[in-house]
Amino acid sequence: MLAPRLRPTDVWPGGATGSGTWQRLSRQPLVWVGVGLLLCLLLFAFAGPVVWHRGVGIDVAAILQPPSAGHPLGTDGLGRDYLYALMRGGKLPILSGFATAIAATALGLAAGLTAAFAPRWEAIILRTADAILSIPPLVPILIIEGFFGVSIVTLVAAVVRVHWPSTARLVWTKSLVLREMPYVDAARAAGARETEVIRRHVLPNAADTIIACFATQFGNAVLFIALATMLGAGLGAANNWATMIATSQQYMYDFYWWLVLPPGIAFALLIISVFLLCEGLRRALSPRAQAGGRLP
Amino acid sequence: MIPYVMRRIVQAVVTLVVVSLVLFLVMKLYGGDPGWIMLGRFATPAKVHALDQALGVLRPWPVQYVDWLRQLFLGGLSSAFAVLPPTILYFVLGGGLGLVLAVLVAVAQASHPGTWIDHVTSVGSLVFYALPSFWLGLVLFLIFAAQLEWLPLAPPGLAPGGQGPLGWSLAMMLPVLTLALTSVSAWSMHLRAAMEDALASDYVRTARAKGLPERLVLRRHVLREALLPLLTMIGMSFPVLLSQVIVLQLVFHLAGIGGLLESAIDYRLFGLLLNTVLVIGVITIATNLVVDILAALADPRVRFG
Repeated sequence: MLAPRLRPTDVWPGGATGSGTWQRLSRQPLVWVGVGLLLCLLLFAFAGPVVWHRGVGIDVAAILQPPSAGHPLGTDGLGRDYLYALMRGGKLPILSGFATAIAATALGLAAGLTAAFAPRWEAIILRTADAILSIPPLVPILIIEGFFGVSIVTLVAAVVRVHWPSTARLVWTKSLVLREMPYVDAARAAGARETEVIRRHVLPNAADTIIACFATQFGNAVLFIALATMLGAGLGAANNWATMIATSQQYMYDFYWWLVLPPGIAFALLIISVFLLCEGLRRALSPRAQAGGRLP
Repeated sequence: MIPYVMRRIVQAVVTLVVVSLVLFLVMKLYGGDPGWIMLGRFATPAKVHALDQALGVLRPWPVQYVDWLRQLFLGGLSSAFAVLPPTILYFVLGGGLGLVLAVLVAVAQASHPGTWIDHVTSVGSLVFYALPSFWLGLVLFLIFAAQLEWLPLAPPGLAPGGQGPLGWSLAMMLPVLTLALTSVSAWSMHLRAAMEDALASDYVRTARAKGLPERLVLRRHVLREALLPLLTMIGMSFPVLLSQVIVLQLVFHLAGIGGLLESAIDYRLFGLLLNTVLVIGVITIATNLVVDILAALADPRVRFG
């Protein structure tokens, strides 16, 4: 469904080389959906509060109003405009999600490549990764939450610590295959240093694995941080989408739907947009992957 | 086979020990002084010291660690075991429903590729994958309990109590449904890939050439072929499903291990918190072990990796 339907007679522009990537990328309508969505969300979270600046103070007369012309998303329990709260609340999930995903993917990539190309480190890295993977990810987060509140930095660090092993394992398995490739041997025979070989031959061919890892990491990171924030391991009084869901729980016995729906939808839109972008990128970078391996 | 199983069991035990050590260290380093906490307003250094002495927290740490483990076996885990049944129930019901839905979706997608059914369910899967599970539960509650009033407002307790069996079952439906919907997306994507692989194979082509009706092809050949990947996938999802159950229980104040965790956090019962976290860790490590052993049984490559 997410791929333009490919017939055997179709020819991707540019073939399997780097050129033509942009054409392949721009041809997929869903990539544009993803880009558009992400841009909208970024504008919403970062430019929004500046443009739509109202209802900052507590207005007891206007508490819990359903959506209206003046307040498109209604008001919350303290009379503040909910749309404004939603806009302000976006910075944290977006920034922390990207930060965590980038850090976890980078760390996992480094670990996986090291394990595959530096045999001395292979055993240690894999053992550590397996050890971290076998401890339920919820455990360290719960301990942190149960004992002390932390700053967003420590939370990001904790999530990265828990999530890098899965990427490392995937990169490692892929590298095992790639390092047996003839072009790697040829490069080594031509005298290239190991890091050169990795940079020029292994990385580009592992690109679709890496991008897939990033997409998963992003989704997991955003939801994980949201969960941790909801359970209290977040940050003081800072308002973000997750705390908005948490406070809306107080009102769950009455039908205050405008308090509950927007933050969740925002989360979903964020994750979906990045997912679509990554999927499109993956397919553009390696047309074979898109066709499920059936294109020559 | 046996050497692999032995190795995995040893690994699991080692991980368990490491987890328990880490938990113990966290408790000692960050738990604060129990005497001070318990005496509160009435604390004086002498009284705190006396209480600590009586509580046994001034002994060398290895001694305390061993003692902690001992009391775990002697009944420290009783509260955790008491709340296991509802947790397992959520797990089984939620996972079961999710599985049924995933199979239905995957079959529909594989048998009608490229049609609106395929597109709609794919989009739906993606959406459910991206939605936070606790939010989904909240929304379902809002719609079905708060607004439509089809389902009761009160959360189900440990056993059908004041609500009676019918009320309790109805109250269980929301968390179960949330769990199912959360798992469907990932599972149906995996299943669909497995089924597509099976559909492209030669024996399916033969079956179709023989004139076998499509639904028999699906049932007799494709599903059977996809069964193994399905089992592996279910096995791998156990730990994730368990954390989902715990999360739901935590967020919605349900009875179960998550509920126990919540009480421990709310009332600052550090000992209970640690014991519960340890139990959760044990269950996860145990399920990982079982899954790995089953995977090794099914796929010989795993044993020699």
